[in-house]
Amino acid sequence: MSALHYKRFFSLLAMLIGFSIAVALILFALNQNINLFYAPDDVQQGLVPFEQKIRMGGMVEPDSVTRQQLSVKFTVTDYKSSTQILFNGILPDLFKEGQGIVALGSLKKDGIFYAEQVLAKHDENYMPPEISATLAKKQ
Amino acid sequence: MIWIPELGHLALIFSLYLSLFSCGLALAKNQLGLALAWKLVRSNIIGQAFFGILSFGVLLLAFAQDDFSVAYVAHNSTTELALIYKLCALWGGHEGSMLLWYLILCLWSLWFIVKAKASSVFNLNTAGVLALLGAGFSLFILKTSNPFTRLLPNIPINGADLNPLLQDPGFILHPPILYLGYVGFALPFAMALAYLLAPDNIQVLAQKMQSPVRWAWSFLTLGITLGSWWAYYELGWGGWWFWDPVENASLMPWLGGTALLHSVRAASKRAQFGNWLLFLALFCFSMSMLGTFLVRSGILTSVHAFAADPGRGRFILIFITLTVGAAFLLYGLRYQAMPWQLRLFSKEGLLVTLNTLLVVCVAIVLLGTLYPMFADAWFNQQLSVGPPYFNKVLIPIFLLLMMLMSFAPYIRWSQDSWQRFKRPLIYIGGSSVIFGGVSRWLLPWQLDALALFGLLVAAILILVTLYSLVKGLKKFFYGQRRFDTLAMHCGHLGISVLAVGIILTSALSVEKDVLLKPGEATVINGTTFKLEGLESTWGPNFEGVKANFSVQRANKAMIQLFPEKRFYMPREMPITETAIYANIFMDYYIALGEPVADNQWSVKICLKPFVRWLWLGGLMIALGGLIAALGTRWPTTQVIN
Repeated sequence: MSALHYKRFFSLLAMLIGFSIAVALILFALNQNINLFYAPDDVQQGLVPFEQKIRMGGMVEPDSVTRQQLSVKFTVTDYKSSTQILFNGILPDLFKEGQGIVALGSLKKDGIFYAEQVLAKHDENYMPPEISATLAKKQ
Repeated sequence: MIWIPELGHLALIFSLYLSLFSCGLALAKNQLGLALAWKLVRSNIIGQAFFGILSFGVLLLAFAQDDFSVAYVAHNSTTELALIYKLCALWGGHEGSMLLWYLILCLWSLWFIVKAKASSVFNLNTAGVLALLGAGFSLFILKTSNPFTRLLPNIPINGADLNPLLQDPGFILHPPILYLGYVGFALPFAMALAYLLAPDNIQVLAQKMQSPVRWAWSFLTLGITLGSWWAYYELGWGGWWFWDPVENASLMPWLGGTALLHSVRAASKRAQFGNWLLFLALFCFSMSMLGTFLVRSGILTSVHAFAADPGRGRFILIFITLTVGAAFLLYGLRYQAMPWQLRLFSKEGLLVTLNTLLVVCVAIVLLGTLYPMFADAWFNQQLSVGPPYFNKVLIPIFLLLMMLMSFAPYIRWSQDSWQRFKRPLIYIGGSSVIFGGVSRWLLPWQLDALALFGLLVAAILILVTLYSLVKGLKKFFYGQRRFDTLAMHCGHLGISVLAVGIILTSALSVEKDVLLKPGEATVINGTTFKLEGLESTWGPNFEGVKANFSVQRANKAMIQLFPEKRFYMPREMPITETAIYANIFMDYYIALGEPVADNQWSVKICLKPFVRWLWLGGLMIALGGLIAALGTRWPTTQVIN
């Protein structure tokens, strides 16, 4: 190999290593920050890890919403099983009994899902794709 | 007249045929002769735009006249709506926004035809590609999302109302301006393809692209800024960016567009940037189309998503695959490596670094946005990517870009020496270290190391840019009219103001959910928020509750704020109307939650320092783009062949 080839080979190698490290770091960051989606029936079957940030979604069961000061308790269902969700704060405008929601939070050992954030849809014809897929699967 | 909506439908069909005809003419230029083909394509595109505008106008008329026999009008409007919202309701749903998209594509095509007067292969090919895109999108509207479909014979007496979230001044401006930007990138895309079909002088191509790229990029910047501001006060969460897939869909063309904006100027001076120019021009509009696909197909969870119809997603996906695939295939086939002695420490070197970093940013956002889709398809796993991913990965790159911005504008072409920058670098570095050390006592806030570092980087950029801006302005008024320099400084200053806003508002915002009865008060950071009383309020299509808050700040005048909770009858939808007292250093933000017990309400109260700097920065960036666009003249030289 001539000197030029040598230089080219090593600069290429350096670029490749740098690129791989960058990609590895990005994928690591991605992996650390994904939130898996579960349905109430997954809780029933024991598929849901405890104390881990996940998303939980389903339809809010009619007459299940109770309030105490700022905390709200309600039940979501996939028409097979249901899970109790506890949320501390102000619910979005479009939170309604009988409609689909997605909550971000974690499942504790007591079987209650502690939500940090509750998302409701912004358009009455719209259903978050995860929920419609779950309902289609479970029904 | 009863047949008016059919006229709109028919006009859209004519528009489609004319655009198809233009494509045919562009292909048959050798048989027809260049001059004749160009003449015909010109009149064709004028016709296409005329019928596009007519079709849009007809739908607008249907909204103005409450023609509920048209299904789309019935689903998105009511008789009670104010006229301006009736008209804007046109882009309140899927079908109408696609028609708006098509209208804007027609207008940009018309603009090109007016600007490019003489016949040339390049002009003809560009017009042909624009017409092809027009044909694709009008066919999409006619095939999957026709806004002129009728509801017969059972015509509803009243419509279902525009989504109350959209009944807001932000909705009048945000979509059209955003689309002007999004769709505007079709022009550089078409020009790049036309050039690849018949390559010639790349520097002339760059000069031609300058004007449309600058306009489109400015509109996109303005559109995103408006959208962020609107979401902040309308959604009632107090956030200004959510890393929502649809927001990402607008950020990706913006990041790519920023690289394109810089490369267009670079390529007009140095032919070696030609490959970057072509790549970015194709890339940008591909991102625009991908964004359309993400929004319209509804495959990703998003606040913007509409009720989904799989047929629509499929159509756009096939259309994107064909156009983008063909474009990049051509790029690959025609790729010509150019001899280039590239040195890192030169203007060229830093511009290449900028392009690379911005493309990497797009890739990062794209990965985070599409990953849920891939995970679902391949691993059958439903998941979402949280905002921390985007923040963690992108913030270091943005900081690096800001550091580059502080000296890249002053570096020389071809080759520069570190020696020239030694002195200022020592001064800046030294004072930064000192400032960082004493900041604990200088700044009134407690900031973590990252925020402090970001603030320093932004402060350096502000100082350096202000210095050059003042110098540039002086020259400007003494007759050296260099719009580009002025525009660049304005834009870079905007970036630094935006950065200060992001850093401080993220670090210092306070949010609190409280329960209040009339007469009760809560204290946050020395500011007392007292609920004085509640009264009922109403409008043509809503009724609600209006709260009266008095906000008492330390040693300052008292503020009255009136947040509302409205209930829109036609859609049975509750909507929070936030009340905000804004000044340049602090926002006082109140959003009503819901009545919890007798006369007791849950209330979200936020203190948001420096949040206005975000949109001020965004506006300055857009202003920079507009100055550059206004200072650009359409080159008279032709791409020769």
